[in-house]
Amino acid sequence: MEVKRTLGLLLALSLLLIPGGCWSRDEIEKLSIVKAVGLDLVNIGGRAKWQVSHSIIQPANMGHQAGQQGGGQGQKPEWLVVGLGDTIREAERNNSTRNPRRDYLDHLFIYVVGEKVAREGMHIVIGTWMREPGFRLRPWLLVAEGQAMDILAAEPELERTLASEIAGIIENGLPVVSKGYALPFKDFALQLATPGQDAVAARVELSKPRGGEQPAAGGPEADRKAVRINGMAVFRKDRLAGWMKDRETLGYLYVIGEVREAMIPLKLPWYRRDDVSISMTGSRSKIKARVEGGRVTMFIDIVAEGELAEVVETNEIANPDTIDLVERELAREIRSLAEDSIRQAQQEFRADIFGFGHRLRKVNPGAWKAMEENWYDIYPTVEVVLNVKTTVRGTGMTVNTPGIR
Amino acid sequence: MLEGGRVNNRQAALILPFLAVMPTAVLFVPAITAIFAKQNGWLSLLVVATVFGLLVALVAVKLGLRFPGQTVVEYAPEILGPYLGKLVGAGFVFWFIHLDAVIIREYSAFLMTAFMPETPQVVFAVFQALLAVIAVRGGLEVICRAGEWVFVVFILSLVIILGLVVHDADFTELLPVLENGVKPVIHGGLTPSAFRGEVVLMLMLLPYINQPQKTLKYLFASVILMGITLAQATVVATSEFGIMTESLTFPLFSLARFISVFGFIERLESLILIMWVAGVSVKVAVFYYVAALGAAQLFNLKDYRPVALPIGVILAAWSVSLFEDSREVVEWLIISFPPYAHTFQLLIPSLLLLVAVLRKKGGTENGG
Repeated sequence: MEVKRTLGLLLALSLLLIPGGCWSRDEIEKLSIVKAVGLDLVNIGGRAKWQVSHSIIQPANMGHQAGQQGGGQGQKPEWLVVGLGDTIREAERNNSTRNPRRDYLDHLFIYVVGEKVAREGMHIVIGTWMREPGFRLRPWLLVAEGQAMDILAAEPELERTLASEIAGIIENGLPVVSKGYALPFKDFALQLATPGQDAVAARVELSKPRGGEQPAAGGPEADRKAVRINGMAVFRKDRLAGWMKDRETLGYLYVIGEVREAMIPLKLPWYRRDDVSISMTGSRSKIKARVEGGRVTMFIDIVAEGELAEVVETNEIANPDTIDLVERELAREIRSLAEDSIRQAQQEFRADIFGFGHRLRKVNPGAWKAMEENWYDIYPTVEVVLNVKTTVRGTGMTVNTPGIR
Repeated sequence: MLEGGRVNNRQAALILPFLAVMPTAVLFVPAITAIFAKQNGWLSLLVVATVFGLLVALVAVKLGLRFPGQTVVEYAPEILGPYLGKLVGAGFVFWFIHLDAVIIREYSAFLMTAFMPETPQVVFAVFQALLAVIAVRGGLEVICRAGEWVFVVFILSLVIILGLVVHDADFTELLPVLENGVKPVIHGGLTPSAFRGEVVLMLMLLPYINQPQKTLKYLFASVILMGITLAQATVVATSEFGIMTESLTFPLFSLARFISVFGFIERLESLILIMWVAGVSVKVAVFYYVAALGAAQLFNLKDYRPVALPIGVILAAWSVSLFEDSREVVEWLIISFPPYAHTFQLLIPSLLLLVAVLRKKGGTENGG
C-alpha cells in the first residue's frame, strides 16, 4: 500500500512536467525582438545577394528620451542590423553572427520590401515567410521606393521607434487621408494567390522634412530623413508594375469601398475664386460583373458621404438646392477619381487590382473558365459602368460663412 | 463483464464521440478538404461526411442492439463462428491501437511544428501515453467525466477563435458554389468522413450505456454537431484565407494567430493549444480504452487493466516509428486513411449486421 502510494505520488509529480512544457526555454533577455524587417536584392561583386535588415528594439533605451541633455549620447531604442545571404532566410540568419541574442519574430509589425525585389517577383517573399511558424501573417506589407534598408534607417519623428511610427501612420494616418493603402501580409499573399486578382501594397518613401519641422525626439536636424506612406505599389501577377499616385489611390479606394475618411477639394463653377472642401466620412461600393455576348461589363456602384468642411466664399450655401448642386459636383469628382484609377490600372499597368476577374468567377464561373487563359488580354477591354451616389450630410458648425464687413 | 461502470447517453453517445473525432479533425481536415473541394470544403464536411457518419452510427448501433451487453469483440464469434469471428475482433483491436498511435503522432506533429520545434517527439508520445494509461485504468466513467468538461473548454475555445476573426472575413470567398460539380466535393469528403466514421467506437461502448435504446438519437445529434462545427470552422478559414487554405498546414492555427481585435486582443493561439492538448488527451484515452477492453475480451481475460500498460508502450513506440516526417502523416490521412478507415467503420460492421440478420443471430429485428 505504502509503495503504491509513493509510486502514485511520483507519477502525479511527473505530470507537472507536462503543463510547463519545458524542454527548451526562451528567456526574454536572450531574445532580440524584431519590430521591422526590410528585404532587398543587392549586387555584391557581380553576384545577386539577399539583404535582410532587422530593426530590433533595445528595451533598455525605450524608457528615456534619446539624445537628451548631454549624457544620453543619442542612444536609440532601435538597432538596425543587416545581413547578406544567398537565400532570404540565410541572410536573415546570418545576422546572428553579430546579434548577441536570438531573433524573435512574433512581434513583427512592419515588413518592407525593396523596389528591386518587388520588380523581381513577390512569390519569393511569400514562399519564404508563410512557412515560418513564428511569423504571424499580420505585419503590414510595404514596398519601398528604393531600398528597404534606407527606409528602416530613417528617423522616427513622433514615436519612439520607426516601426511604431510606420504602424501608426498606417493605422491612424492613412484612414483619415485615404491616399495610401496598406494591407497585412496575409491579405497581400491572398491577392497574389487568387486568380483574377492582382495585388496592391502600400508605398513608402523617404521624405526630407521641411526646413522648420522639428522631430519630437530632438536628434540631428539638418540631414535627417523621415518616412512618408502614400500612393500604392501596383503588381501585375507578382511583379511590380508601377506606382499609383495619391489621386488614383483615392479612386481605387472608392472603387473597392475602403475609404474611411478623406478630404476632397472641389471647384464649384459658380464660385469666383475659392474652392470648397468636403470632409468625406464613409463609403461603400458594390461591384457586379455581367457577361453579354462574350463581353464583360463591370457595374460599380459607389456610395459616399461627406460634410462641408471648408467654404470661404460667403454666398449662401446652406440651402437644400445648393447642397444638391454640391453633391452633384462631388459625385462628378469621385467619378473622375475612380475613372482615372481604373484607366491607369487597365491601360497603363494592365493589372486587375480591382479583382474584376475574381468577381466574375464568383458569379459566373463558366464564363470565367473560358476567359481565364486570356484574362490579361481581355481585362483592358472590360467595360466599366460607374454609378456614384453622394450625400452631403451637413454644413458643419457654421451655416453660411459669415461675411467680412 | 470487464467494465463495471455505467455511463449515460449524453456522456458516451454525444460528448465522447464528439471528442473522439473533433480534436484532430478540426486542425487537419480543413486544409485536406480544400485540396479537392476548394471553396466548397464546408459542403464536404456538412453533407458528405455527415451522411457517412450517420450511416456508420446507424449500422453500429443496430448491430450493438442485437447483442445487448456485448461488444463487437464478444459477439463477432457468435455471428461468424469462432475463427473468423476472433479474427474480426483482433482486426478491430489492431485498428484501434494503430489509429491511436496515429493520433498520438498527429498530436506531436502539430506541437512540434507549431510550438515546440526543439522537443523530441518521443517526449510528447510518452507523456500522452502515460496520461492515457491513468485515464484508461480509471475506466470508462472517468474518461466520460473528463470528457464532459473538456467538451466545454473545447467548444468555448473554438467559439472565441471563430468569433474574433469573423469580423474581417470575406464570405464571398465561398463563391462560386459547386464550381466543378459535386465530384470534388465528394472527393474532399473522403478524409473527413473517415474521421467522422470514428463514431464506430460505439460498437465497443454501447454495452455500458444505461439506456441503449436511446443511443442512436444522441449519436446522430453528435455526428450532426460535428458536421456543423467543422463546417463553421472551414467557412471561417476559407473566408479568411481563400484559395490559400489548401496551402496551409493548419488553417485554424494560422487563423488563431491572425486574430487582432482593437489592436490588443491578439496571439490567441494558446487557445488552440488548450483545445488541442485537452481534446486529444480524451481522444487518445477513448481509443486506448476500447483497444485495451477489446484485447482483454479477445483473450478472455478477467480484467482489462493488466493489458493497459503494454498497449501504452506499443502506442508510444509505434507513434514515433510510424511516419518519417509530418508530411507523411498528412499524405497518409489523404490517401491511405479513407479506404482503411471505411473498411472498419462501415464495411465490416455492415457485413456483420447482414450476416447476423441472415443467420438470425442476436436479439429481435427492431433492436430489442
